[in-house]
Amino acid sequence: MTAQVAERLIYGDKEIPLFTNPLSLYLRATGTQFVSPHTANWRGYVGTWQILEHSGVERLYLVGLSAHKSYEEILSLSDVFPGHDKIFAHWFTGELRCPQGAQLQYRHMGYSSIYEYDLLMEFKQGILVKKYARHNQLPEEKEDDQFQIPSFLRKG
Amino acid sequence: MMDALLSWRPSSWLDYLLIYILPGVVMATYFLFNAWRERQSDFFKGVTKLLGKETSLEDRLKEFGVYCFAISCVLLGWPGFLIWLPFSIAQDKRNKAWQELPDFDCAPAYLVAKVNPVDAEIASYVIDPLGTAPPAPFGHLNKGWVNFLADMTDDTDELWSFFIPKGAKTGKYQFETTSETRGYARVREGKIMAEFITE
Repeated sequence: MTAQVAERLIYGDKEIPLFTNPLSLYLRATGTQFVSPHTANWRGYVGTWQILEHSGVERLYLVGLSAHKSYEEILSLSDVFPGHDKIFAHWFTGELRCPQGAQLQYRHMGYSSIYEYDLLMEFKQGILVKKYARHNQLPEEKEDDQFQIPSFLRKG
Repeated sequence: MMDALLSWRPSSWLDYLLIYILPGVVMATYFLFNAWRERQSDFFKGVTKLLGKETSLEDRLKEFGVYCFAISCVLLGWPGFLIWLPFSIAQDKRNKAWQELPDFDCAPAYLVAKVNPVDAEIASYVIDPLGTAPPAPFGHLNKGWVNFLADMTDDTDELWSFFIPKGAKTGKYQFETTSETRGYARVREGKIMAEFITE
């Protein structure tokens, strides 16, 4: 599986990559599906998210969407949610992971690449409950599977 | 010639051995024919040559050795293959049946309590000070909830709430959940027929 294009999170005055798909539960629950335009975007959309504060409570909102109805036709947030310019992600309970700093290791799969540190935000029903950073280190490399094949059967 | 063949009777251990390996010869021929049919295409060979991963003479000799070993196993051990075949077919059938099973996150072990749909709806309204969530049960998930309820057609269907803790292994593929999961399941005679995940 190819490395996947990240969601986006407007954080402060910056837009940072987001390695979590908070929209997936909504799509599953409502039976909504998009079309993958290429192998780096199997889910078929890229959402832009923002944490908005009201009366001391910070909530997660979907504020932008670029979703492929077909290869050519791209839907926006107002196409998918008519009459809305932002959507409260009340269905989302879990952790948002935003990679930060330099890329320590590229992995050709999903959101598996490792960065210097991750900004992690825990949500409960769309409400931010905890925020912290995690410093990452490169994991020790495992021996390749080919070493389990007897040497006389290995090619070359 | 046909008479000679029909009147032939094994007389030495070599004759008996030939008779024994005859089904193995048929089986090995069948396997070799399949391997020949699935041989690398010229296009594939061209691409591997371009990539500098052409099969060397040493690789071919190794492959030849593996084929000789495999054919010897088939010639002498064909009764074993005949015993293995029905098990393999049964295993294939089981795999196919498993593939056709629906993939639900909820399992009977995670069911919490039987609930009334009206009570579930009352507890589901979303509070959003910015007013972006529709005033309907389960907010933006309302469409999914309506579809879920519409399928509760059987008199024996029951609505249960469920809770899956973070880190639990669940679903058809036994993936570890990355967060707590809550929702409702349609249960019929103890079996989960459908699920609606709310968070």
